[in-house]
Amino acid sequence: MVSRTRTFRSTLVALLLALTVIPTAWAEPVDATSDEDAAHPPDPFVGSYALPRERELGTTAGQFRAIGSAMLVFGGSGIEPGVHGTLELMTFPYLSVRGSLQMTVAAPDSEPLPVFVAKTGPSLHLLPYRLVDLSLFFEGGVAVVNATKTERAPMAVAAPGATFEIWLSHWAFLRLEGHVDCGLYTQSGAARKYVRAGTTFGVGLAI
Amino acid sequence: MTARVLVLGAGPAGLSAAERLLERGHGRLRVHVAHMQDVLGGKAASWRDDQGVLVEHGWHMVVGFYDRLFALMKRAGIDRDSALTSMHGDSHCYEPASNEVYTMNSGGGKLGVAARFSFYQGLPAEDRFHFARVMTQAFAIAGSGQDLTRHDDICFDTWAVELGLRPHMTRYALFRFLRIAYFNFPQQISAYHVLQTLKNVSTSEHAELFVCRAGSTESLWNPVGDHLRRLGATIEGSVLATDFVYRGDRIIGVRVGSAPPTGPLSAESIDDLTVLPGTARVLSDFDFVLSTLPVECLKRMNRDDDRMWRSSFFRRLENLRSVATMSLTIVTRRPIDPRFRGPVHGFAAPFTFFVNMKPYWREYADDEAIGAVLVFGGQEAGFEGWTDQQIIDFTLENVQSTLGALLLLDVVSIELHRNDKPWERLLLAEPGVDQFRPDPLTPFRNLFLAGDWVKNRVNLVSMEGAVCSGQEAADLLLARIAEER
Repeated sequence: MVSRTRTFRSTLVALLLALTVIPTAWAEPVDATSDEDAAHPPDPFVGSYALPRERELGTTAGQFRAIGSAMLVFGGSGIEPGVHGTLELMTFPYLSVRGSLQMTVAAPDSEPLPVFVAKTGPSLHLLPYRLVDLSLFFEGGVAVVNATKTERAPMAVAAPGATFEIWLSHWAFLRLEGHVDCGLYTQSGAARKYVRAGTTFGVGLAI
Repeated sequence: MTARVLVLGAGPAGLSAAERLLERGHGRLRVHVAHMQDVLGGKAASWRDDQGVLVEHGWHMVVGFYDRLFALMKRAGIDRDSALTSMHGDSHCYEPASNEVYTMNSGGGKLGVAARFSFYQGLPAEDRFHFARVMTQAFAIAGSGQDLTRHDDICFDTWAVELGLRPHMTRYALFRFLRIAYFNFPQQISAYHVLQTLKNVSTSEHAELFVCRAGSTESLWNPVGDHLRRLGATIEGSVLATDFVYRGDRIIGVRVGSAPPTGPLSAESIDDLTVLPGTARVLSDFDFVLSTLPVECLKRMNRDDDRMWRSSFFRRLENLRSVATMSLTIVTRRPIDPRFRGPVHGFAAPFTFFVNMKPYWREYADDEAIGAVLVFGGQEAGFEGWTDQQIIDFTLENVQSTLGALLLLDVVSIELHRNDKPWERLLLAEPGVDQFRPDPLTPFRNLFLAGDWVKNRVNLVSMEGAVCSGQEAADLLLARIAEER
């Protein structure tokens, strides 16, 4: 009986200790500078000197970016894979000039194939200085249809599009892009329409 | 007919204005300079205490682009090489992030700007090139010839971020220096003010820093005062102007009195424009008044005159704010690191920079008993309620990590000055301030304003700005005299 009472008391003391000592041990240490005996009050501008973590990401003025992407083109011959590269100079936080090169690597029976396109134009960035950026662009340029065949033909193209970017660090980002290449080319004496929607996904580097 | 001009103030603006009036007045002007202190120099003055020790109420430097000041010195017969000494183009920056001091040299001219920032070891490599690019662009904009005042409504931090600077970089001490240099930190500085500075210091010759060998009053202002007397001016000290007396659009008198002792050596100090009892009088022996009084003094004149202070010209002056600079001089027996030849900045407010004046001040240069004379500079904002001792303790703590235990340097003396009186305060070059800075011409036909806070071609809060303003106001006054004749 005695031992049971002692056990109960010990448990009670331990519990009280746990309730009082442990929270004290977890409490923040007291700031020495807030002590009334300190030689001076705390620095009113202490937050002005610490270098903040590099939180800023995203599109900024003056950036030069290079983006390499894989591409899928949806057109008359089904889905055609390709490669796509973009160079982009941010002139203002919201506005850039971009230039793209793309090449489709189409199936042998697709028509036309393959297509090489060089385009340039302005781009409007809607969300600079953010983790996620959206942009709208309009490019114009030249294309060569059936670039690897003897009946290759030149073509002027216009390509509106949009991009969606997710920034991984202040110098790297992922970009998903959608665009529509529109043009007219002549084959066997007949004018033919070229309308292909393309989507690209790749990695961009910004300096 | 001789025109009589009363010049109020004997700082760089007042002295340069008086000189310009006498030089270009062709003997037809009588110039009287009245100022409140017992020494010449205004906010750029220095004193000697009872033991002959140099006392400045703020550290003063002369920058290589101060062409008007150099020309004034030459006309006054001051030998530039003996009055001033170069700080070798060095400046140093303490980066709290790495707890290191880095040295930059102003050599290299325009092409060296990007290189200097690119090789600055205080930043990580990627930030370094980024900073170099943005600052090179800023120098290009500053030197493009465009009207820079359109950048006045934005602070330089935001302006640089809009130019592409990564926001976290505004926290580097290297970048903060641009605010420190004009005593703006912890407040922000107008982008226009920084760009105007970059425009002026774009060559290494123009960016070179000089200091006076024997205090600015002895080295510069006393010889300029002697030059003025030779030209025929009369100079009267300890005259405190309290009010203008006017009739219609002309000033017909200036209420003055004897000023109590002011400056860092005076035991009792006054807080406002109060003359000694029984000394009040009205100066009326003038045709024109050229006031170079600091903005805070002018704002206190004719305070009860609603008509004057409700006028659009004077009401705008209410928007001009000022800062109380502070200086702390610590003389030690042991020397500090000899590589600190120029200003070392980047410390926590209130004293954001210091200079070791031991090699430069003539009286200490050869004194083997003195190791270092550390002159700290900064401003009071945020520390108004602190005692002097608290500020000294705080500053010693802040610099210990850089210089080692400062007390081990064996301190000989410590002096702290708070320049918080109306006649000691500097214009705060904050964003948007330029639109409120007045022109030298006032609604009173015979009252002209000058000072580094008045619009002028240099337009920087500096001795050069004050000299330029004084000369421009004098030119306008001479034109008004010719017009009235």
